[in-house]
Amino acid sequence: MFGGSCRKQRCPGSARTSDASVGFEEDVLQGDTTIVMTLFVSGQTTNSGRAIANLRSICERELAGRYELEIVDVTQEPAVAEERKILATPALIKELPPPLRRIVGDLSDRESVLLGLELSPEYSRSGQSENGERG
Amino acid sequence: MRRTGPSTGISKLATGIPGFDFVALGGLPAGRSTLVAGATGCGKTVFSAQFLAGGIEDQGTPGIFVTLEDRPVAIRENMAGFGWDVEEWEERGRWGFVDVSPALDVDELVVGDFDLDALLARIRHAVDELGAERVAIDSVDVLFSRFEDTRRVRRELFRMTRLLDDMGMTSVITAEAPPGGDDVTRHGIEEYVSDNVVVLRNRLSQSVRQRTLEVLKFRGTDHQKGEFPFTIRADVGFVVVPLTGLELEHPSTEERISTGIQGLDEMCGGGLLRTSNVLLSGATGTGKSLAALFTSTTPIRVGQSGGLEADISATMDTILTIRYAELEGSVQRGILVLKMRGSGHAKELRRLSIDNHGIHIGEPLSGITGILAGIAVRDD
Repeated sequence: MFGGSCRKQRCPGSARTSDASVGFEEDVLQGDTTIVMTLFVSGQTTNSGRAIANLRSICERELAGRYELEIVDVTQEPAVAEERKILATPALIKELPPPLRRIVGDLSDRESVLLGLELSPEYSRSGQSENGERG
Repeated sequence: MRRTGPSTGISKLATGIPGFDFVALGGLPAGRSTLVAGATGCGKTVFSAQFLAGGIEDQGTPGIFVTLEDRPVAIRENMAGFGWDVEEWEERGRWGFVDVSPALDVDELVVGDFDLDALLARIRHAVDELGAERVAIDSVDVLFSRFEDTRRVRRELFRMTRLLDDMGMTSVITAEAPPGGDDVTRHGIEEYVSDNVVVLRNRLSQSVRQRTLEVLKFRGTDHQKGEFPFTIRADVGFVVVPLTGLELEHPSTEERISTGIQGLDEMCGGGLLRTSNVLLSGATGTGKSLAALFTSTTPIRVGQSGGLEADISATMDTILTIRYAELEGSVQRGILVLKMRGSGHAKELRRLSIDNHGIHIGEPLSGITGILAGIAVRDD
């Protein structure tokens, strides 16, 4: 866990995360469209760290207040990985709104991630103006 | 049961697949992974599943089946056809699936570097849960079609085999081999994934489908060389026929049976040996139908010329071959005892004639070469 609150039952072990990511996960409290996501990572690998950092950046800049995220470490919870049929890591699953989308990789290309999550630049711009925030 | 190799200490794990352990001189290299490559429909899935079944039935050791192509329900159905109740094994904790079969309803995008740690974690978890000792992975080509980054997939496959080795698993990894037989696998997997390779082939040869298995290489331990026929039978599954090493259950005998043709009996050192099998081969019209003149106690197979002899000659105790020869305008038939296990026999070609009274063996057709090929040329 990143040190913030975690509403979900299953939280990954705390040993893995760095202090820099504290406060990254947020529960959605407002907004019409909530993006619900699950990020599957694998322990302390470089890919895992990058994916978390990249996703954090995207969420804070584009999705502030509009997302719900659970992070699962497949090495800690292989049964969940089996249940969700995860093959590659990192793997970002957009659960809601439908349709289900899966993005595999360290999420290093912001535009592609936004496309994959079906978040157009317009969406993020309108989000920013609504909140008056700039990530 | 494990057998240790003579020189290197890599032991073998008996698979339980009929005929295979004989060809492989004991089984698969224990604690290692073996690549089983073959074209689609060759029998890779059956082989890999049967490998697990052997462990469960013969040694009571659990196995994990990592399925990347077929859904678990399809595997269960197919195995039931061979008489194996996979579902019951699953209930008893003897068989576990790691289901990596494609989910068609999810779009997937690749953005940046990735690895297959999740797959490795799931395999490790399944092995630990069941205490498995055997793992089958069928088939890895799916990874190449799913992820464009070939180098990365290869790297991850290498890591996977290392993980399996570290866990002490004896594994079968299947991969597709392109038709044509030049390359072992479609993606050159054999060069870096495994030191141990088995190749399954399914060729059309003279209108006959031939399925063969070959142990291409085992690192550090012995195996029989060359291709061996195999079949997949509904009640048994994968069966390899180790032709050259059949365990003869009948004691050898000196008892002779007459062919009914005096000259031929002489050529065969007194007659055919009881309990031997005999192949009578020759081109169409050379007189094989007259094999009916042989006594009723002589078992004879009648075959066409050419390929048949080469394919099954190792199984036949005795081979008689008949050929036409056109010699100075007339057609002659020659008969030759090509091979006769367990007895001395005439080495020369004898003239064969057929008239109202039956088959007659005549003088040696000496000075003529090429009769075996059907083209006689006098040696002048």
